[in-house]
Amino acid sequence: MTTEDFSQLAKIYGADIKRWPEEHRPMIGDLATTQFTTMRQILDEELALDALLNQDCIAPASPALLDSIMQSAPQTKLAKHNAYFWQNSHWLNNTFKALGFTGIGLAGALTGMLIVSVMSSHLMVNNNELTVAEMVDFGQDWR
Amino acid sequence: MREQDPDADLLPRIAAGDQAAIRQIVVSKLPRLLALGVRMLNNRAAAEDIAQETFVRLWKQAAQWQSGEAKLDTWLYRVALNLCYDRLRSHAHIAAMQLPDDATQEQIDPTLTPEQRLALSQQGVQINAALSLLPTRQREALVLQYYQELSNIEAANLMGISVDALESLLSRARRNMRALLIEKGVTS
Repeated sequence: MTTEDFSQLAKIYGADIKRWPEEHRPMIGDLATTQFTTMRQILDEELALDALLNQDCIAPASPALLDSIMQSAPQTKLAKHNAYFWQNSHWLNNTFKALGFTGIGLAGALTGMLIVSVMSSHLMVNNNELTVAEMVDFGQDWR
Repeated sequence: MREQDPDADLLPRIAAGDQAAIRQIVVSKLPRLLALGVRMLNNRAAAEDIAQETFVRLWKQAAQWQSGEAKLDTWLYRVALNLCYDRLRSHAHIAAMQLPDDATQEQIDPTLTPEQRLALSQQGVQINAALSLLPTRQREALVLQYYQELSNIEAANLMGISVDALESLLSRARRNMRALLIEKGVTS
């Protein structure tokens, strides 16, 4: 390898020799024993460009993109069945709604019954407390 | 002898809907596919569309995958690059200089002052803009070999050219990038 070859490779692959094709790397050591300073200058020039290129960093994928890709992926038969069931279960939703209304109605009726029962038992107690004289009208004439 | 594809075992599992395998492939491949798109198109939204479409095609392909034919990485790159080329050919893509988004700024060292962060972020934008001004084949060569860290043989194969032709493109790409960055005042 000559310094021209070395310079050519640096202009193609940059200053990081680890990025160079493997077949060229063993020859670099031999050249370095005699041309180290020249090689350093060549690499420094490319290093400046590499440093700038490395400043172009890309932000990671958003969770929304990740979710969207995951949702587009195939699903197991069971998962597909479950997804289909829940997506198409309007009848189930309607049943739950109907049950909800019925439940509210039943609760109202039970509350009403309870109130009536409490009130009437209260009246009964009052009736029991009346004296015989109060309950029976003996008439004025009898006195 | 053909090199064993480390992802080959995941494909039948993906086809069967194994969510762990699907997540594994998305987490490992998405960052590179996204970066490829952003650098090829200089447009993050378009790059996200391309990454998503590449995975949709993978889901469709997974059941018919013939192991031993192509490595998954090579296949993904080929699909994504073709989609990038479609986008570049269409008028929908506008290769305009974009303002740095918040996500890009978050990538920069948080210990820097806001002024330093802004300066670095703007420099990153200038570099991305300079990249977008390169001729498409030079940009593709630089993105695949330098940023995606593919070997020269892999990059040349993906581009359908010889290693010599790839090296010629890389050399011109670096020379042009240097000239563009000097012109933009990013370097002297």
